[in-house]
Amino acid sequence: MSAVAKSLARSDARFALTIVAGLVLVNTIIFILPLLYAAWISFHDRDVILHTQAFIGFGNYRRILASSEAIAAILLSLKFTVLVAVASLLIGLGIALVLNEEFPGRRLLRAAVLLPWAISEVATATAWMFIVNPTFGALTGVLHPLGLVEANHAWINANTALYWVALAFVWHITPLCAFLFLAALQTAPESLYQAARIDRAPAFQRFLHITLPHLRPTVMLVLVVVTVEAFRSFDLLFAMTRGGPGTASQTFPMLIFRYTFEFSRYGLGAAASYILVAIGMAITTVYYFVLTRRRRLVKIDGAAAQPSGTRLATAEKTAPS
Amino acid sequence: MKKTVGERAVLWIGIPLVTAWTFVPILAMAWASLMPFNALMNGGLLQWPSGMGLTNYKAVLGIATINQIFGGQPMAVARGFFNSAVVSILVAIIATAMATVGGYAFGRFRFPYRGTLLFVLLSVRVLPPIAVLIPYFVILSALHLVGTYFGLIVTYLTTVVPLLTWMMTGYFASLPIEIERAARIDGCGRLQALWHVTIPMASPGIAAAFAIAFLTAWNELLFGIVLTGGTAKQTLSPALLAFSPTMPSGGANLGMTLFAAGSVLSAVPPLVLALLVQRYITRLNVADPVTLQGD
Amino acid sequence: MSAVVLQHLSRRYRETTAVDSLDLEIADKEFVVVLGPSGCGKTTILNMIAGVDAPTSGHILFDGRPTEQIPPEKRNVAMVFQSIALYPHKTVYENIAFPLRMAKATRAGIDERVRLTAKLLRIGDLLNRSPHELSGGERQRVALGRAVVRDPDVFLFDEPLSALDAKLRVEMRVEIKKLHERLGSTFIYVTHDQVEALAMADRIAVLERGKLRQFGTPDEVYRRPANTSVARFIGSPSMNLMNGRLVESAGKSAFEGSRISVPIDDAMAAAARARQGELILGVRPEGLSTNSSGLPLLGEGRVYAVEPLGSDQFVDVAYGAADDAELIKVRTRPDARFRVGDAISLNASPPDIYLFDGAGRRIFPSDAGYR
Repeated sequence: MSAVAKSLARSDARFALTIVAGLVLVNTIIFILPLLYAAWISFHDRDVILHTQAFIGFGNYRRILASSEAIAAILLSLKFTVLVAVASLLIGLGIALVLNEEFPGRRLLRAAVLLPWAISEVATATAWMFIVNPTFGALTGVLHPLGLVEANHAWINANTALYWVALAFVWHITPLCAFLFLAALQTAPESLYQAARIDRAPAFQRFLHITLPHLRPTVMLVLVVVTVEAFRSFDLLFAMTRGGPGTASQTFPMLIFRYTFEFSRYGLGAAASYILVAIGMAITTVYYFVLTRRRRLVKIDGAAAQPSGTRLATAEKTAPS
Repeated sequence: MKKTVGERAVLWIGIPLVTAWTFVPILAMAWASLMPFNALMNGGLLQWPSGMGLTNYKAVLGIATINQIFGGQPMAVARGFFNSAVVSILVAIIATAMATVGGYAFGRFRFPYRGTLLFVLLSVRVLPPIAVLIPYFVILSALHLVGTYFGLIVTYLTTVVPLLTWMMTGYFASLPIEIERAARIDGCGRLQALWHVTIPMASPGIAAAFAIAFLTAWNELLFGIVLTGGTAKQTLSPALLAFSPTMPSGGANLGMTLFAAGSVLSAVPPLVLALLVQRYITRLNVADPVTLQGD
Repeated sequence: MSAVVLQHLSRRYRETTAVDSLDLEIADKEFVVVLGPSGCGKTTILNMIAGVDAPTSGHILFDGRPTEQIPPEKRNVAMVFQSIALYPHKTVYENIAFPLRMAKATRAGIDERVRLTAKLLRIGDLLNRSPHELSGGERQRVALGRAVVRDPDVFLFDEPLSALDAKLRVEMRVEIKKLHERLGSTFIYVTHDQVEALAMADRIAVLERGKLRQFGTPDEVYRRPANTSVARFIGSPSMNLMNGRLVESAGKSAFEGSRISVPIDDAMAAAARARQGELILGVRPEGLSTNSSGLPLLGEGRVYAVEPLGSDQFVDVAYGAADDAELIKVRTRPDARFRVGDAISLNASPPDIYLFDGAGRRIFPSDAGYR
């Protein structure tokens, strides 16, 4: 490398690295150190009241993985995540398809659809309680006079609690999916639709053969976003059912909360957190490789569908004229 | 262009469905918030009883008292509003500033370990908040920082900054680099180009990042409960939740109308903000930095 | 004012070499056009001269001074981008004033220069508009204005006209040329359009895949192309090129292609003899004629297609079997009548016939005869 290249490249790199180093430093202090500390906690059996702690190695981890309660909670978490991911994908796509059509008031509806996402999970829980409350909820209010359910029907019971919470969460998260889909739909190749119309392909065929292939990368993206959100969610479950009735909606984060803040078993809570992190990392890694692998495919066949204009910027930087 | 039967069906069925899906839960909550407590308990939600009005709102803000057992809670909601506003605005300002600078560095420059660091950003988003909370709670307890703005703000920053940096990376990468080059050639130093040209161009993305940071902090419950619950710095979500029938302190249904009124009030700032930046949020493409990997 | 010298300049990316050991000496006040197909590294050269990209190796000198340590903002160069790259959030006035503001000029001074520049480029009435309200041509003028306003030593143009429609392009071409005359600065202009290059340049640097193929005046690159890639690139339609060998019998020399045989004179034969092996014969469409005055004869072919263009007419002549013919393009008078399938014979005279060796280097005519 010549001196020119070195000095210019160095000034570029120095500028970027100064910023990044700062960020890394801050993040290390406020993030990595606490996590390391959490690991240390997880190897100890800590008694808050007696102020004692004993090193027990992987004892906490072994206890959790041997506990049927914890295994049940993990499975429930995965079930919740899958339910939410599938449902919000489908409903989000449906909403996006409607909002992509032209009709009077479209802009208004587009803005309004974002509302469930903007309000808090506590408010979401409140709103849904007025639907499902056995005494005064809207669902009983509509169905009881029709003779379909008895008064005071407990909508949220041991069998249904997880589904209701999942539904409320889907309601809360779907706007995000709808907007990601909408953004992709708006880049759909109009000329293809016109060609299909000239070929007299019916609307459903056009959807199947043009829209869906175009949306495939977005489907992956939405799945990633929703899975992550569902997997880490706590607030809504806590506000709506608190894991109940019994342990019917006690997902793993909920169980960790109990370990830590109800039973003050910090070591156990920290160990469980690490198990949760490990599962989360496994899911992310799978997604990450699927996403980057898709990109490599995109690169090979050149100008394949791309969810945003970023490709241009990248291409400009790496392949000058 | 003339619409086909299929498209018309999508509209005639779809628009009412989307509208109902979006509004029914919100309207149920809003309607209940206007009802007298006894009317709700006796006649359910689907009625128009006498005495509809803003009583619950006044009570929840501590402007008026009503005959309920929650002596302290209404004041807590009013205080929660204030605390949440302080925390959320500070978090939004600090997080947006950090994410803008960080996103610029990641989006514009190639440097060693860039890909790894981006992967770390994504991973951090996946960490469940509860996993971060335990060490924080222990450390902040030891430092006597539980129940302070500072402790809560730092905790929120850990979850918000990586996500926003990730988003801003994609946003900056999508801005045309030539305009920045033009600025350099026109006599700007690197920081001047950032200040005079890049940041103004990125302002929609920055606005969206600000809104997302604010919403996250404003809406959050778990950290709020654990780090400020029951203290003078208690934020809005935990304050509201004290009315909830699922809480041990709440008792069955007793605070439902206040809960509704409080929840509606709590939703106002996020709704206004979301509507203001709605156009910009659509443009933040969450997955972009992934696709920017490895070149 | 600046002379710009590029020494062994290279820029490599991870997998590609955009610029490959380029040497170029651009004199002060010269108008140099860098010409090449898209993707040949032209923009990279400009970026490196401007200082917004760094060479992998080699040097750039301004008036003999190395530029290593000079950041872009201190180089006193101006650049007009292919994408125009106006500041979208600033008005036309602010766009043009921006370089002056950065140079810390006084408010009154800025105002005077902006208005003068706007008048020069006839955009005086657009000053309060914002870029997205302007037409393509107007935007281009504003971009020029932003470059002109602070009187830089070197102007860099990156395909500035490629976004404009054909008519506007011709107009702006003249204007940029007049601008060069008026300002007396060094202009380095990048394009893939050989007409633009021939029309504007003092000298043209022809680039292909990051390598310099020839650096010379428009007349030189047109009449003495250094190699087949320059010959192919300059002139429209481009030069007819045929592969073949030198064949000598009974004191006569001929170029023997697979379908065409061309008798050549002694000077050409001598040049060809000096380089053994494969030969490439080139002749421009405008160097061929359909009447029998010229020599040597190219032989008889058939009319394959006729393209009347108003001022000119181009005829494709097929040599060889119908399904495997070699096509030669010839320019004729617009009023000449041809029917597809007619037999036709083409003639060319030595000054219009070029010979290249197997590697594509020109071996005839030599530079010696060039005036």
